[in-house]
Amino acid sequence: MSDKEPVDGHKAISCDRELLVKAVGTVYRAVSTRSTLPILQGMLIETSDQGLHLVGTDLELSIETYIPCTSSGEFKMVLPARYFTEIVRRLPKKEVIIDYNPEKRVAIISSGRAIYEINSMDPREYPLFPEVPDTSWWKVPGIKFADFIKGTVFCAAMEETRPFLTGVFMEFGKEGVKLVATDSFRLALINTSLTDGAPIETNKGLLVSARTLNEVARIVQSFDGEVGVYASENQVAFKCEDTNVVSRLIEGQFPNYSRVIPEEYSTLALIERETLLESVDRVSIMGKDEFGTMRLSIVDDVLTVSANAPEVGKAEDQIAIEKVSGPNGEIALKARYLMDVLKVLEDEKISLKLTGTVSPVIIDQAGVESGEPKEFLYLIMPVTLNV
Amino acid sequence: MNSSKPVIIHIDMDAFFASVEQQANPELRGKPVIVCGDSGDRGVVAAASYEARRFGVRSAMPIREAKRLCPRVILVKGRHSYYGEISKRLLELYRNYTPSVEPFSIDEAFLNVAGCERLYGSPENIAYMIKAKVKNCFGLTCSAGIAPNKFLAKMASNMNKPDGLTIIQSDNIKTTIWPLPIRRLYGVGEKTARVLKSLGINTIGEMAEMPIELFIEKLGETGRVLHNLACGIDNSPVDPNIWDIPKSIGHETTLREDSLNIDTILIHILSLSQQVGRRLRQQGLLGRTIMIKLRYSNFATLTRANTFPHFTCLDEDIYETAKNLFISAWDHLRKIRLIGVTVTNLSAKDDFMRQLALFEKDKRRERVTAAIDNLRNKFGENAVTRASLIKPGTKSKGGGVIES
Repeated sequence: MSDKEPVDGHKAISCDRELLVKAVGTVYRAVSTRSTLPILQGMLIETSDQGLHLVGTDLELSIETYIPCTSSGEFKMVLPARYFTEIVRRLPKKEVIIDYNPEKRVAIISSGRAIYEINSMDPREYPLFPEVPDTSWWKVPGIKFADFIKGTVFCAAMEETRPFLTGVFMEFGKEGVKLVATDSFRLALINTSLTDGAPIETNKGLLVSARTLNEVARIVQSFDGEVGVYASENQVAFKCEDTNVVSRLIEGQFPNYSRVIPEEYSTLALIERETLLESVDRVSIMGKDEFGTMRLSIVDDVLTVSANAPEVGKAEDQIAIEKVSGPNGEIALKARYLMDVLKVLEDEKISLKLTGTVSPVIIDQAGVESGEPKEFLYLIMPVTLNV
Repeated sequence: MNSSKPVIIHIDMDAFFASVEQQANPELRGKPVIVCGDSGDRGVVAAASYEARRFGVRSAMPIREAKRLCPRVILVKGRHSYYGEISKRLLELYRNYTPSVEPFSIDEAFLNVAGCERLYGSPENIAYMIKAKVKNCFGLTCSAGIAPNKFLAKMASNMNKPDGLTIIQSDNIKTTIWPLPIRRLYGVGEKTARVLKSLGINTIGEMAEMPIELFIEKLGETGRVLHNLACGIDNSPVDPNIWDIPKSIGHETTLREDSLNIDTILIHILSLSQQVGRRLRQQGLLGRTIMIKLRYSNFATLTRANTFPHFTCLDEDIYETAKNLFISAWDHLRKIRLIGVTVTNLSAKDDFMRQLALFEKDKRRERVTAAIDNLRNKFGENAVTRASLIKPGTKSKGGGVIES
């Protein structure tokens, strides 16, 4: 930063309100408003060669973004993120002027005739933005990437008991990239042949927290261009236009998931996804509670979905199976696990494969033409009595 | 066999914990003894011997108060697993006389002896036989109450303590329980007593003679139940299986001194989680809701709970959840006096819908836990413990926090 001082001691920039609102919204997601370190409740706002630079971090996840601005000075300040966010959302005019008085350490934000003064924290206390790793691992269209993330992240474990299950494992191989998540009761696997990026070493993986990926998905979901995935020993970065998301990789070994994917199945049923989802939703009312169990039974070309809550009552629904192979079969599983999968998919048809009463149900695209450069596979472990 | 009218015997051990200790250690016999918890001086009286009660010492009284009333009192640290063991053996003794035995607490039980007369004589005779057996086998005394229902039997056993035997018949309730103060009615606490007193009711008899509608209006369903009891009506059966699945399993501990040290507190949470996990597994139970209780120096108390998607009985699951609950509940400012960890939403392992897991890892965690439990069963609670629960230069004890 240079020593150049504007005449009146103030340092002002002007930027577009819509761009600012969007940028602040993006960066705010990394700010921990409940952090015990007060400085982390702030958002770093500074002028730079690439425009106005905004940063938020909770030390685990850091997000930075740049927006164009016309500047007549330079400044660096840390404003309480919650106030700043609320302020920019309410500004009346398209043009926003941000002014900074370094002596008083006060930011002046104005738009039209509205004006706010807000105290800055000491910018010297703000943590340095983590170094963005420069080894490129993958280049993937934003919209697709968001789709892959949404298709896997819900299977990651919520509880912190086993941190290595709280993320999505991104495995890079010659044929493509696999995204896998599991909470040990169910598993999501997306296999894509999109392999642009750096030379890929076979079967190396990154274990990225579900929270980070949710933020990435939010940022890239409407972005046509390519998102870059970069990684170092313990950090991963996602670059999307003028925004960088950097996060610590989860430590620990992701389980050997390929071992638990059954190679064979006994019964396969090709079913309309929407119809099954509606049926499961209908019957799950009679599940004991949010973790309620339901029964799926395939008899000839009819799938019966049923639930029984002894203290409440029973429910049953039947749907037609488009194509069935193998013997009749039955399985009990948690309704929510099945609904989660059916909700996240957009495909018209899915295949349901039974592999036994104590081995997982498989949901995939067997016998379905999708035309997408991705394959998906979901496993749901059944519920059993008296084991 | 029990198709005839029930004949209930309620057996209530006299000063159970204290008597057990006096029996185990002859030097304590005939002396005022109080049994206290782990927190020693800072805790409350868990049980007082009759010698101590003569000085006005009562259960749940702060130890300091007890010491003030009776400076010669001898403090003995409670051994709950030992009392539990004796309690179990007492129940076995009762079951020699009737299969219909319902444990009511660690030192109380209801027996339905209807139909046993041909074998053992009158109910009174059975009660005498049990009292003599308890005295011979355990060196302990108990008080028995005989009545046509559980409520009256419990009232009866309490009438001539210690070592009493009291019979209440439906036709003598007017002379036996009606003159008693309303507070003695089972289920009437301080608050209810206040409500009843505001209605001008001071004795059980006064309640019985008022119309039931009044109490339903004032106290709802409780009012109906209490009025019935006051009239000597109680149709609840003796249920030998009532305690098969407890509502919750929990442990709590008062810290040696109020603390702001998160490490100390977490170690206590770990220790409590382990004790709770062990008890769940001993009883073949799984639980889904983990609850913590915090009490601050000023005695303000709060509880927080979290419900798991799956049932568990593993120490790690309980600890991780309890730890996270504590971390998000505590403000780091208020000193902690007491911590409790409880698992509720229990289910028996046997009749249980079980979510299967994909990876061996979970099965491995269960196997490790089972191995540790086996070692403890064989060599005692301290055969194995976590390194973080051991303080340097101390001996291990109790499976709890080990302090010098």
